[in-house]
Order: sequence, then C-alpha cells, then structure tokens
Amino acid sequence: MIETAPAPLSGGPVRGRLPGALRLLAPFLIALGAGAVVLWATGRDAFAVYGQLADAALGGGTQIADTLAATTPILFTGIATALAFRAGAFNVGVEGSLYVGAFAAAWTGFSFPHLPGAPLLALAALLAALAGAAWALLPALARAWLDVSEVVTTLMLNYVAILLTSYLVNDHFLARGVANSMSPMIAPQARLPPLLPGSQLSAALLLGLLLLAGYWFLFSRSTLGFELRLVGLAPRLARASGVDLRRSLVIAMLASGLVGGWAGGFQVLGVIHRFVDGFSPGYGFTGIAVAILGRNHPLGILAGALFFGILTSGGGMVQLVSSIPIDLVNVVQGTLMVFAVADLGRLGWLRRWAGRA
Amino acid sequence: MSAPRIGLRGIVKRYGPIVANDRVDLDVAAGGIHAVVGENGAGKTTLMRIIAGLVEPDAGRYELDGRPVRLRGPADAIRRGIGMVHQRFQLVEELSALENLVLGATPGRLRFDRRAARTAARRLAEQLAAELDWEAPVAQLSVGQRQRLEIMRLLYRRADILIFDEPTSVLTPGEAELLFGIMRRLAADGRTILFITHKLPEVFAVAQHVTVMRRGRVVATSAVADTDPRQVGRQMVGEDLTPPDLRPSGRVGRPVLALREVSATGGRGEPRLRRVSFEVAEGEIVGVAGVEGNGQRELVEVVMGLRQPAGGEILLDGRPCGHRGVRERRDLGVAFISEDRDGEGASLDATIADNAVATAYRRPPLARAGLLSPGRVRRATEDLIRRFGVQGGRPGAPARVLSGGNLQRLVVGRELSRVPRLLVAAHPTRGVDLRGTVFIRQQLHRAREAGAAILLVSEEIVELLELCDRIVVLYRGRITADLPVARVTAERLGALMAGLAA
Repeated sequence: MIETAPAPLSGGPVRGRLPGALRLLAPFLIALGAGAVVLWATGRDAFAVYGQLADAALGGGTQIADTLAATTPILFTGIATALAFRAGAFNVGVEGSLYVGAFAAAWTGFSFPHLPGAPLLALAALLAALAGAAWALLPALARAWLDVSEVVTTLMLNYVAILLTSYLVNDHFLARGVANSMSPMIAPQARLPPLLPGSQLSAALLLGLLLLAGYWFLFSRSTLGFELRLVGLAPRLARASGVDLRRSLVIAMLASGLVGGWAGGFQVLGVIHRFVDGFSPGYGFTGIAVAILGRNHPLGILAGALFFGILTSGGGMVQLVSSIPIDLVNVVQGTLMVFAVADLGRLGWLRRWAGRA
Repeated sequence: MSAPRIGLRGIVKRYGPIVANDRVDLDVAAGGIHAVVGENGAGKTTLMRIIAGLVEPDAGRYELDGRPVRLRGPADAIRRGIGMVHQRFQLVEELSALENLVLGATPGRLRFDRRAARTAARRLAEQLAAELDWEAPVAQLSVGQRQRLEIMRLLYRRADILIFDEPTSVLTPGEAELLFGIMRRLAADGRTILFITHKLPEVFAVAQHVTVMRRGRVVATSAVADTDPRQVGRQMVGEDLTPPDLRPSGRVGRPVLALREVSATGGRGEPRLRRVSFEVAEGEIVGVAGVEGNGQRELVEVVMGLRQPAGGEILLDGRPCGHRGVRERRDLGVAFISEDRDGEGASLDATIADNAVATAYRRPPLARAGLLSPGRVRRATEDLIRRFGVQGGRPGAPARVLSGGNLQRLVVGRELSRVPRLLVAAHPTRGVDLRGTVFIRQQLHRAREAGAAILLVSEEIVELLELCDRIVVLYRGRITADLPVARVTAERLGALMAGLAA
C-alpha cells in the first residue's frame, strides 16, 4: 500500500540495496555500455551511433510519435505481465492472449460494419478482453487446482494461439485480392482516432496510460490489490490472514490475459486495422522484459516500455540511414534483457562503489 | 598465563547507521564452554559471525592463540579450526546423513570412498555417544538429529572451536539435555565452545563463563561461579525486571471454542490427532502442553481452518465451523499467532506496514468499499509500533530489518490490536528475548482479562504454569490429561508431556 522500493519479483531475499535511482538506471547504463563495446569492436563509433539512434527516435515530432506508437503495445503487454508477476504467477502467455485478442477485435471490426463507431469499438474491446482472458483461464485453473506450472502451459499456449489465428485467417477470413495472409479491413468507424496524422500513433496510447493509472490504483489503493501483492510476496502469510490463494491466482491470471487481449486488440483497432498472420514481433515477450526491468512498478513499466520503444523505432531508422545492421540493435536489446533480470545489488563492489559515489 | 584461544580487541561492525558491535573485547579460554547472552539485537549473532569468518569487522583485532589473524571467509575459518552451527542448518535434505557429513571434504580421489566415510562417521558417533541412521536422507531426520549431524560435520573437518547460535531454540527439552551432554563432552576433550542463548538457566547449567551483551557492547564477562541468574538478567536488560502478576482473575464465561472428537491426518494419511475434545471459554487461557510433533501443529491448523479435519466437530460460539475457511473464522473474531513467524506470521520481504495490516486491511477504518487508505494504514502502523514497543524500523522499511523479538511484537500487536473472541497462540515467545517475553505474556494476560478465549500451545512449562487457567496435555495426537493449573506441578507436567502415566 505504501509504495516504496518496488518489491523483488521472486519474493526472495533482498540482498544489499543500491540507492534507488541508480538501481533502476544501472541495467540501462550497463546495457548501453555493452552495446558500445560491440559497436567499437566492429569498428564503429558508438557515440555517433547512439546519437543517430536518439535522433531517429526522438529528433522531431514525427519521430517521437513513431517512438510512442512503438511503445504502445509493449506498454500494454508490460502491464499485463506485471499484473500476474505481482501476484506470484509467472504468466509468459501474454503473447498468446495478444493474438487471440487481436483476432477477436479484427473479427468484430469487419463483421459488424453497420454498427456505429462507439458501440462497435466497445464491442471489439470487450471481445478482445474476453478472448485474452479466456486464453489465460486454463493455465490459471490448472495451476490453482492441479499445481501445474503456469510457465509451461502459458508458454505452450502461445504457439497454439499463433497457429490457431493463422488457421482462422488463412482458411476462413482471408481478405480478397491480397497476397499476404490477412483478414479484411475493419470498418472505418471502428478505427481508433490517430493522435498525430501521418504517424502510427493512435488513441491506444492514451488507453494504455489510463490502464497504467488503473494498475497503480489497484496495487496502492485497493484491498484487492493488497491481497494480490501479499499473495505474490508472502503466500503463507496471506493464507494465514484469510486470503484465498486460488481465487487470487485466478483473478491475477485472468486480469493479465485480459490486458494481453487488449494489447493485441488495440494494435488492430489503432494501427494495422486488420488481422495479419504473425503480426507480432514478440510484443508479449518484450512485455516480460518490461515488467522485470520496471520491477513491476508503474513508473518502471512506463520507463521500460519507452526504452524498448526507442530502441525499436530508432533502431529501425538507424538501419535505414546508416550501415548499422539491425542485428546490432538486437544485440543491445538482448544485453538489456540480461541485465534487466540480474539483481545487481548482489555485486558487493558495485554496492560499495555506489555507496561512495 | 597463556594467551586465550580467541581474543577480540576493540571489534567494531556497522550496518549503515546501526552499530552492531561497538568496540567489543572478548577473551575465550581453550577447553571451556563460554555463553554469550543478551537481548534480541544486542549484537551476539554478529559477533559470532565475525568469529566464524562470515562477517569482516570494520575495525579491531582478532587473535587466535595470541596471534592476530584475518579470516577470509568461513572456509578459511574452518581450516583454522573454527566452525559454526547455525540456527538454520546448512544441510542438503536430499542427501544422506553420511553424504552430508563429508560434503566439501569428501574422501577418495575420483571415486567417493564410502568406506572411509563410514569409518569416520562411526568414530564420530562413538565420540559423541549419539546414534544416527547414516543412510537416511537428512529430510527424514529429526531436528535434534540434524543438529548433531552438523556438529559431527564440523568435527569431521577438525574444528576445535565450535560456535552455536541459539542451539536450543529449535529443540525439545529432552533434546536440549542431550545437546548439553555433547557440549560437556566436547569441552572435556579440550575443544572450545561458544554459545549464544537468552535462556539463563542454560547458562548456569553448562557454561563456565558468561559474557553479557547489550546494544552492541560487552557489559560484563564473568565466571559462572561468581555470578547468579538475577545479576546476569539485570546486566542483560539494564534494569531489574520484576515479573508481572499474570494470575487469572478466574472470571470465566461461556465456551467460545469447542472441539468434539476432532481427528486429523498428516500428509501421508497417518493419524496426527485422535478424537480430541476440549473447550476454551471467555476469559480463559487453555494451554496445550506437549513435546513438538505430538499433534500441536495439526491442532492449530484445524482450529484456524488451515487444515481440513478428518472427523469430529469444531464449534465457535456454539456454531459448527469445521467447513469454514480462514477468512470466515477471522471474521468471527479469531486471531492467530503462528509458530512459523517468518512465513505464516509475518513476511520479511513485505514492509512493516504491510505486515502490520495483513489481517485488518479489509476492515474500516483502513478500508471502505474495497478502497484502502494509505494514510490510515501508515497511522495504524505507527500506532501499533508505539503501543507494542516495536523497535528498529519505520513503517515503509522491509520487516527484515527487525530483530526476531521485535517482529514478534509486531505480530502480537496486529493480532491483539482489538480484543479477539478467540486467540490461537502457538509458541508466542519462542526465540524472543527476556523483555519481549515478559511483554508478550502480559499482552496475552490482558486479552484474557478483557474477555478473550485463548488457546496457548507451548513447550515451555514455566510459561504454561504462569499463564494458564487450564492445561491439556497432547501426547501422540491424544489428549492425555485436562487439568486446572492449580493441580499441576512442573514435574508432573514434564512427566505427562513425556508420555509417562498421569
């Protein structure tokens, strides 16, 4: 309830503590440093490349809009993942929820072209949420009643979701006259309004920020959020205090899947306007990194999503205008994930150094 | 006079703003038993960890046999003959006792020389006069057996200084006696024993020297023959502690908890409680006496709703509630002090505030209509900290910063912040220092006088006799005696707990 340093994910022992800001910044800095080593090793000027990257991502209105557009889906998946993590459920199936949610939204969008905008959008959002939550239901029940590890079930169901939506779009809902595997376009009134014409930025970002505020509210102002947090942090204390562990687990998993469904649904309604087979470059998995990097803290999630948004949009542009291969951007991203999960506070020398600094 | 086996000069250890050891001097003679006593947070454990090479002091000198040394970790310490038996045993549960014994110093070059290990094991067991099933996995050994295995493991590594951190806090009275026998035997062989405790009778039962610590400093070191428990107690606390009057006023009301032929089974379906029946009434403390493992844990869980009974009836204020969950029972006014402080009673990773409101967060004034007020939570926590004398942490700090005694004060405060209908208290003062123990017993007494029904599970005969109106004895899952406290003596109770005829 009183928000202090974000809780450790595992609820394991907190070893030494680095000063707060440094602890949150350290993974970013170390990742950028490791990326710089790779750049120099391949004969490039790291500072220049980072400059180009920053310029490509943040150098003007359009660039910023594109960065925010790239941030939007991983903001959703980051929140989705953090919802489960906080309650001690390791849901790695947000990618699956994202696919079924996206398909549900697209199907609504092209199946009811005669509905007016508002009810059509509401229906699409509702069905995307239901589809996403439904995708998390089975793993939730299996974990709660049969003690089946949700890591395995949710991970595997990702592939089921990707292949199922692929089958649906290819065999039943293929758009006429296009070569790729995509559904018909959604009705124009089902599109979320763009925030900046000419960019991919849509009102989905605002919905994401609203959701983030809701996430903060849930965990710092509501009894339900307190219970979920207690279950994640101290399950035995929660049980002895009268919290129903199974119920909490199922609620957290469903909420996580629901938000995952929205991640896909709003990507369809706001950006691609149809369902495209295999459209996600791993938004759901990036969401895991965002949640871990942000230590499940609302501001941390926002910072993590922005960071990956910058890398994605800036990286794409750098590749176009310079000789930097996209793989190098991927190396930086990968390095970041490694350092994001590491608990740097365990390194005594770093702690001492930080204590003096 | 020859140099002491261990000599500490001006040892200082700080943790942030907290000075855990403040210019500590200590001499420990070879071949004796030296007790270190003090309240929770007095710095005993830190000092022992420095001696065992687990913690490096910030300043000061550490001498072995008069020569200054600098230990580079526990492995270096054991090479110099110093080993520590921790409160939490450092054993691998899946491996056999024999494998654990030699772990880290396994005989044989490539192949594990099992025969050499067995020979060593047999010799050590003879030396301690303690038998052990060497082929059994450690998970199957009792707590006392595990502790003896730890001791033998240190001896196997040729340790001749053995440090014990509150060794009896996990033992039954019988096992503690066995341990003292082993300690005496080791000292007679010329080994040096250091042990931490806050039970004064133990000091006077086995030690030759006693060092008293308070707030990070050594207050006194004396020969046991030259002092007495009263004086040591005063040195520990810094003042005279007059034990409060905890005698019941005897105003007993209607029964609150009633068990009728309640049975429960363990994990493998073996019976743990057999047709247990008794009642606890308003304004009454009923003690459950028994040696650990005779069904106490199951009894507590069945009453709290943490375990389904296999048979029988549980009534709360006359209403059957055997099928109800923990939350429903708590809503009926049941409070719970768990024996499992770090886990069920509290969480070290959660903040002090989270722990303080972990059972009241759903009720006004903290919450209304599902919304939680952070301001009220903070104020309630501060209030609890003040009322129950919890020292060492602010509401936002993780509970890890609290010493065990202060954490238990927090738990007791949480459960007694309003008078419960029924309080289930399992070993509420285990591992708690003198002052905290007195305080907690006082709180239980006060709750009783305010009309609460209290079920007190304890192994401490003194505690049971001091607090209870009535005592039931649990032996092998059965109630073997149900007596008013006036008709029980310590000797009789000890005999009943051991299963001897009433």
